Amino acid sequence: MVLDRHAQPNGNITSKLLFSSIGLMFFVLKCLMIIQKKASKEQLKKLSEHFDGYIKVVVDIKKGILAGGSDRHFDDEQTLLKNGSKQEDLWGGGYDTETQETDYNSIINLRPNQANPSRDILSLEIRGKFDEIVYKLLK
Amino acid sequence: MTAKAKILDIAMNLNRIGNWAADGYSGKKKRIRTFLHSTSKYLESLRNYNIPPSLDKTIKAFSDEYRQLESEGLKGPRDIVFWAEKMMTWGNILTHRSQLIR
Repeated sequence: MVLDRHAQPNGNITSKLLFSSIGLMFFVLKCLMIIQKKASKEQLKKLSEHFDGYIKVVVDIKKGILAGGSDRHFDDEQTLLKNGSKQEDLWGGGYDTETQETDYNSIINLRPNQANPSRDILSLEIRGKFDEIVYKLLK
Repeated sequence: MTAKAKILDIAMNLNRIGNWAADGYSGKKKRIRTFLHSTSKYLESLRNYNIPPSLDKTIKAFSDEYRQLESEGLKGPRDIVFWAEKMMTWGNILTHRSQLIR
């Protein structure tokens, strides 16, 4: 009985933590989406919700699609990989809906085997493709 | 120094700190701490500037989150790569938003 009485409050705390973690995960997953054609206003609103107008994106430069809206580029990258994208075609960056500027900075870009020993995309050609896809789908 | 230059200094620091942490937090700990303190001072000094209303919300959100990030960074982040990514994300956001100051 004593054990039961002690177990109850701990169980409640565990449940609360579990539910808040699930809630956070749900929020992140709700905002994360793959964009294959020009985003609607509603999609754009959801994508930019997490960072108040700034969208972290991972672009598949071969397929011309992107994933965005999450907290981490890693999550966007994983979503695209599960969707059939190839690692070497994925590049991370950001798009600010307020200034309409892009950036090419992401943890996932560090790829010395693809001549990119930096977290910024160094290739002008890849930057060009990245911009083209981001502006086509999000602007 | 203009408010725009000050915000860009903060953004640059955040990107530096994020990169150092992602390269190896333990090896760069001392430098990271130095730059966290310097960023706090820059942020504190922003109060002396007239920030345009278009940037108010961003600066407020950043200030709130930076307090937590700084405290975590000084203690040693639990998830270093995630912490580094957050610093870089704020660096990028502030770089973009500084362009709203003409």
